[in-house]
Amino acid sequence: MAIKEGGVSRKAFNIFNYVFLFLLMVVCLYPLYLQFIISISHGLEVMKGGITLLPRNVTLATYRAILRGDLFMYMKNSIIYTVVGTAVNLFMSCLCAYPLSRRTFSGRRFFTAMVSVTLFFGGGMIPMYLTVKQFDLMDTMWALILPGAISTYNMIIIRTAFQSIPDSLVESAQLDGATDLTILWKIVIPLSKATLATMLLFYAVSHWNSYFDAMLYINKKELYPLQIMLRNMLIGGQLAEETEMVGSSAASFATTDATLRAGTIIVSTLPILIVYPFVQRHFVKGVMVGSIKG
Amino acid sequence: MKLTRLTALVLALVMALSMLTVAQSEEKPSTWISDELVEIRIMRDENPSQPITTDNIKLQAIEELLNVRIIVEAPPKASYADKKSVLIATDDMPDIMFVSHSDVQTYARDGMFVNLSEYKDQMPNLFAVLAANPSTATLTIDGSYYAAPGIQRINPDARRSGQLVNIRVDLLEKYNIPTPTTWDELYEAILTIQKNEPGLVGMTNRKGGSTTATRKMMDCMAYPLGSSSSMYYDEDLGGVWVYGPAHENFKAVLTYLNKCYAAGVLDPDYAVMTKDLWTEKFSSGNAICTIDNDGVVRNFNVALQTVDPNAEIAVIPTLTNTLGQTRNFYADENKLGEAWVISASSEHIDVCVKFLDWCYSQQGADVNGYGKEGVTFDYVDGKPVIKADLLAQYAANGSTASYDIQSALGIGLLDISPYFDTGAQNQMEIYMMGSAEAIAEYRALVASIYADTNLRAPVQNPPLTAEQTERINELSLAVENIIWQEVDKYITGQEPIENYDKVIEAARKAGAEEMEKIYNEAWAALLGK
Repeated sequence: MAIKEGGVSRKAFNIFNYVFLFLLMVVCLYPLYLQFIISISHGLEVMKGGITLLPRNVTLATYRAILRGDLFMYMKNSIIYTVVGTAVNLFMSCLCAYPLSRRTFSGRRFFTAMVSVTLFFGGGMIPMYLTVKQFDLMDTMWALILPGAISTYNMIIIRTAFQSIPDSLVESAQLDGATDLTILWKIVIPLSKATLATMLLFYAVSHWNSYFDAMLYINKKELYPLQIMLRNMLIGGQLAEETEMVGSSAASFATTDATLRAGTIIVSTLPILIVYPFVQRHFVKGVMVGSIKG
Repeated sequence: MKLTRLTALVLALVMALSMLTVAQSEEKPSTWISDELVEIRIMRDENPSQPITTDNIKLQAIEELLNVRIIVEAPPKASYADKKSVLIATDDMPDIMFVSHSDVQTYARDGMFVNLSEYKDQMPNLFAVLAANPSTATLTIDGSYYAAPGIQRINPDARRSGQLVNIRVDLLEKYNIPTPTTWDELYEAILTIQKNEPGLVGMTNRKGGSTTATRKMMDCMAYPLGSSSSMYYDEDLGGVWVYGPAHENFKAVLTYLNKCYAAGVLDPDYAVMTKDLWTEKFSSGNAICTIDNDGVVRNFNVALQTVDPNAEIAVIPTLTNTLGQTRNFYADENKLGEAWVISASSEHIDVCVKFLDWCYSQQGADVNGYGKEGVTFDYVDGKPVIKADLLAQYAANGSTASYDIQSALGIGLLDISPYFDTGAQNQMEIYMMGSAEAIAEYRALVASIYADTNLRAPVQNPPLTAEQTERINELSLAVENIIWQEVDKYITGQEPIENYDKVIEAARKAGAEEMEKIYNEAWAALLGK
């Protein structure tokens, strides 16, 4: 934001703005920072509480314990599901959005209406489970990718973005002998990069955060995504309130449930934190392109 | 070369003998429960403390001993209820599934699970264990067992625990306060400590797993104070089932807690406490007393003693309440709320029946509790003992050691162990105590809890018919709504205790009385058998 010279009220506004945004940033980042300092503090210090700004009795025991577990196997699975799933999502969504965006497509209104119905009505959990089972997708990564290959909401945003491309551009390409696939691949998609980058983020975050489908369709632990393990650690730990170990020495409390929880949150959040800044700049632009024209 | 007759005869004999040996070695071991290798799917929830391994030495031992390959499916505990519901609803259950007793009550009559009583002659071990634990009779559905319950095989190192009174005994000693023997003496003791050390929280608690902090506090305190937070069997009232919060005696509980709250003895934050806050208060030396799981509380000493080396929180014997009763429950050593069922649509019902029965044999309990003989444990004086090198290896993992070793070997209560033995966990814990003095102190503490005769065995709910179960579910919802929105008002003194009579009346009208009638009839029916 540019600060113009002169005008006390403008300066005051800018100062307020910076202070307010700084506080907002602190509010957003502090929970993550707190988890980080808990994860590198000694378990006994965490038990005693009061860790707010700085870690106490710093140790990497928690991260050593995390490395001993299967965290990286789950993380690898999550990355595979996110990358492959998002690629399938974008591919299928573009294939569906393109014809629905062309005015020359006969039955366009009918198909759009049919697709829109799924925004409001779903088959439900049990029919979906039976369908996945009958297609022999159980215990495969496709069970997490194919049933949700297209998000209707996201597809409609892509369709709206495709519609904003002038028909004359498409027609001139057709006159030059381009097929529909060539037009989609070489003209429409390159002109809709901002929207697609946003959809990529939507789809990717949704894959990264999802656990419910995996819980339903996956029985093999080696195929579990990270979120299943994370949710179990955070919620299952509370449910299992009576698990305990007695008679340990002080040294054995370097890691506790609280430090392991914090460390796991940090490690599992890292990949999305790293990817987000690279896609974020497309974010606002993409949503606006898709939403205000249509 | 020309062979002599004698040489030929010797060679023929040697050949015949060697063939005989091969034939003998190919004969199936007597422990096999299936001629062909059979795979059975077993599903249970995974506790985050002890991840379930799907390829471990215990499973190998089972395959060798029984000729059965166990395919373990372990959805996380946090999602298990959803998963279980979907599998039951779609009739896509694994061969053997870990469920709750309430699932058995809900689905057994629909024919979802195998009726084990019909296989009684093939399950001698299970039915012997059930007979040895008479309280399991409460688990029957219309007179039949549809599930194998979690039963503990008690080992020499097992400890009994419960929601007991834990207090800073160093502070009692410091201010020359004799160990309280009544709840009123406990109140006075805490008050005295707080006068000398202002700022210390007196009696505090934590939030329950899926309940509120108030409910959890009541679950721990209402029975020793003379009532209960739910339906319970009261021997002091002549052996009847009573819905605690809708009974006159519940006023004694509220009166005591209100007195504590008014004097600052009860934590002013009691209704919004969490497990983390509770841990912090004790670990930092800022709290005096809690009525909770003594095993969990004892761990606070480790952190507490880094603040004050003389500090110690310990269990005291059961207190006498204002009604003159000296009573508390110890935690049930069995897990009767947990159930192992065989799917009625399994293709291997016979093998599953034999496998489940084997789990309740001594060999089954040894393998499920300690792993593979000679590899992970040895018999010492006839008792299974985990190998010392394994204990030393996992001790390096610190506070998670006992769960880590059980996770790696696939053993213990949190794995597939219907007839469970906590020996491996106990041996790991004792190993980590190090000094003989610490071990002796621990054993004395465990012995003192076993010696407290005022700690009573918990009484299991009687088995209910389908109609009774449905009616109880309906009524308890209405009654609980009335009770639990009122309790805090009486503890904090917003409402005078006399007004609680109206709550009792409303709750009894809403169904508490009918619930008691149903339970007492069901109890009488059970005893009549």
